[in-house]
Amino acid sequence: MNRKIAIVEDDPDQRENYTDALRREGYEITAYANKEDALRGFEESLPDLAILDVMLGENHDAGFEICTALHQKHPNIPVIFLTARDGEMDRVEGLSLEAWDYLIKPITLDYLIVRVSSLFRIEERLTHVNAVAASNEVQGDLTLNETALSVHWKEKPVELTLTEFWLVEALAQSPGEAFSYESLMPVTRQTIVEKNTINGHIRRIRIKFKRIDPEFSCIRNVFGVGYRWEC
Amino acid sequence: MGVLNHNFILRLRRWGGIRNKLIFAIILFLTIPVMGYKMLQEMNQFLLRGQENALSMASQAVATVLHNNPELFNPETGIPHQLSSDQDLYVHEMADPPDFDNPDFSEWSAILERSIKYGEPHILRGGQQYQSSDLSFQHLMGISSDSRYIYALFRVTDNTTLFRRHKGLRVDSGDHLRIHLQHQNREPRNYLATAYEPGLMSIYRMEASWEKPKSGKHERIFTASMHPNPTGYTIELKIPRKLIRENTALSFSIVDIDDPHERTPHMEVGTFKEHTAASLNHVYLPAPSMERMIHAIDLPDARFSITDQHRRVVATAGTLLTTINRKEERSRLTAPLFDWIFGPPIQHFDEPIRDTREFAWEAIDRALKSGQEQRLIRPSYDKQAEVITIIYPIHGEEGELGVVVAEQSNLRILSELRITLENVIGSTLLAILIASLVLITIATRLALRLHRLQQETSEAIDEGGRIISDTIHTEHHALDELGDLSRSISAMLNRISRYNHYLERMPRMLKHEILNPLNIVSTSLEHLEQEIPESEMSQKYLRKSRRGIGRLGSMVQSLAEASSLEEALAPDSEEPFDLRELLDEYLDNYQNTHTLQHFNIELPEESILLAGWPYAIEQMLDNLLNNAVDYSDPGCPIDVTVTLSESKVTIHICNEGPAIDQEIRDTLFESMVSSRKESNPERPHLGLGLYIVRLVATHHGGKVIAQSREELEGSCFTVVLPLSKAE
Repeated sequence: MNRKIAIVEDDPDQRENYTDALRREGYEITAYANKEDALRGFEESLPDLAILDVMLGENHDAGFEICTALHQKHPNIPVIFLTARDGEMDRVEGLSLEAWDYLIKPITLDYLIVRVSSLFRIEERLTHVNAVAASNEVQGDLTLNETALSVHWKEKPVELTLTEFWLVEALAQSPGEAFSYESLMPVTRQTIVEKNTINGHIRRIRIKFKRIDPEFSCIRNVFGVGYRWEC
Repeated sequence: MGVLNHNFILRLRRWGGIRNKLIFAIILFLTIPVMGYKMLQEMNQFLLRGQENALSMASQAVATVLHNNPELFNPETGIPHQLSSDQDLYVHEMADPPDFDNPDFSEWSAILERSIKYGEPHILRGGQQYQSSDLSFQHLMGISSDSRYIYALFRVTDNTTLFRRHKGLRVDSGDHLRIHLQHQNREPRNYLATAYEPGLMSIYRMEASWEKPKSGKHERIFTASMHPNPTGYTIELKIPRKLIRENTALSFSIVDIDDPHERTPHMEVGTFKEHTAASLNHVYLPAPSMERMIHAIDLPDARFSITDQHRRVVATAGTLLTTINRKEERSRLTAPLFDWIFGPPIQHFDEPIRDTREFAWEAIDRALKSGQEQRLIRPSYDKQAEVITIIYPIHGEEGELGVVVAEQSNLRILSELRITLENVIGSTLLAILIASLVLITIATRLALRLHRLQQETSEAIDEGGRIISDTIHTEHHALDELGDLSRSISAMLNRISRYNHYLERMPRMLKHEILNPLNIVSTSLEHLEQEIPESEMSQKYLRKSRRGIGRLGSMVQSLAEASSLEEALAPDSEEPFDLRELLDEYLDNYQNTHTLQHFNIELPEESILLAGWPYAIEQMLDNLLNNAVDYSDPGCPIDVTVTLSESKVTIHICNEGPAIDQEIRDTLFESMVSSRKESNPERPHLGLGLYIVRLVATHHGGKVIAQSREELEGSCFTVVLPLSKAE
């Protein structure tokens, strides 16, 4: 049975691009242009996941309202906000409505697809706990779980963001290999990436590891190139 | 020079305030009372002229009456001719003759004020270290109404009164009176009056040398008495009228004996100055008929005197005695002020007659010679007032018979002027004073209000040009022009603040509007990559499109960076972090991405604990270092020096390269200001970088300064951040 995804986006071009990309991945897509159509559609059948734009036409908070309405019907439906509004307050409000993710435009379709599939995996994990343990990948003191998107260092959990997870995963899977900035950029699956952005991510990853283990020094700088994982 | 000029302008500005300008204007007000005073002076002149004319007319009238009466100047009246000395003994009319048996001297009281004092100038003998208590006397002569006797009074001041010794024959062994009598060209006759005790005196005719009496007999022609008093003694003398003839010289002197044993003369004071015939006194008897004639003139406070051709006063009438009391006319408000400035007004004025002739001497001469009226205004003897003097000649058959001297003080004019000055000028001054005070108060208040308004207005916008408050509360409700000004400043601030707000929001709005189409292009491109067959060319174009999208995206990102950063730097969201650790790693990473650039890095050993937003600090460093790299000459190192002091940490980032333009330096940290000449196609530049640097620095309670390097071409950016208070 194909997963059902509802997309609410007032811009027809973007709506169509998302629809095409997700449909190509085999999902069943229902797309709505405004809040009213969406709510009417949800009356008939609930989706397995909803991708909502926050601003719909004149209504600046339509996405938030749809999210609230949807959660009233079914509290466990994963919701992704996909919006150009990147204000701190908007993020907080979106996530406080128990949205599963808050993505900022522009976004690559690859990233969207990965997010959607990982959310489905997380949801699956919540229902089938046993599947998670199988996907553990151990690398010295580091344990990565691609299904749960979790990282453990010396058996203690490290709270990483998704981008940080991907960066750690990419580095750790090829220990000793030098990753250039250019090769790390696609790993973030973001449209706009600069070298300094990578530096920022790496710095924060190191801080998070050091909180657990002050001796942590596995992420090394490679002069003029980028970073490598070496313990 | 420039500094001097600047200081001068500053001082000028301080003194050029509204209030001072007004005070300067008020000073001009003060010319009004000055003008008033000038007018009063003119009035004074005018009144004096009037008074002069009135006086002149009166004296003319007197002269006219007298001018054909030469008999009034007849020698029979006892006026000797051809005498020119003024050392005259004036004989005044007495109502009653003195009573020698009952010496209370009350008969003299009516004319006592005309007595003449003889003292130091009249010392004939002795008188070393003279004091008036040693020896001086008041002398006065009178004639009884029956004209048979002439009386003389001597009120002698003597600290030791000695009467004649009973022992011995010497007649001059006590204080005594000498009488010098000489008829024209005849042998002078000397008489000496002395007494053993209070009461009648014995009179002896003396030899020329005054050594001894011609005979032991008493002279009976004179009668004299001597009566001691606390300050000395009084001598009264009776002389037969017939003894005084034309050209009779009569003089007196008092001889003082002080040593009770030696009994030698200690000092002699006379009514004359020398023992020569020429300097002896001449007796001048009054001309009652003439005095009676001019007595009728009733001009207040005026004195008329008739002088004969020898300049001797033959008659006087009236007195200069003037008493004015106009207390009730004076304003009680201004009177004390004027009394304080000018002293109390003269209320009383008098001048004895003998002074008159001393002052008017030359004028009398001129009048006698020319036969013309002479006018003069002379200061009074006590210099307090002025005396108007009119000298009018009395024409006779052969030349001038004499002159009428009319005198009047200007005291009445003075008092009139004083009252006017006090009442008019005083009240004007008072009014001006009050008006000035009111004006100065208004000006001060105005200046104060303006100052407050200026203060609040300048505080409404901070150094960075941000509007702190868009309402001016000062004068907001005032009804006058200042209120209007305040309200329009408020309105202006409001408009600017709305405009600024719009400007601040614009990047975000722009970003939001651009992001959606960008998203369409970007996602569509992804689809295209799937759809288009993998030919070399199509891959190339797709790559180019991606790069374009990426650049557009980062441009939009940096456009909104500042505003989203400002949002992220919300208060209470600070976290503690170690700046040294951050810098260490950050600079390491930065070096990693900029391999061609050499950095000289100096970091302190100890950790630097700050509270803030590390992510924002990274962004600040991004901008500072990117800036330094972009402006650095190739191959030159960039110095990054971090120094730590007790309360702050200082980050210097210095490069070598083109210096910052002077003109742009002040606005370098403003939004949308860039000194970049050519744009870097890889990294769009919107002039927000250094704005973000300042934003971050100020949010951390610090500041950023841009300077040109001194030792070599280049610039330095210095960020100063306060350390975390908890440490």
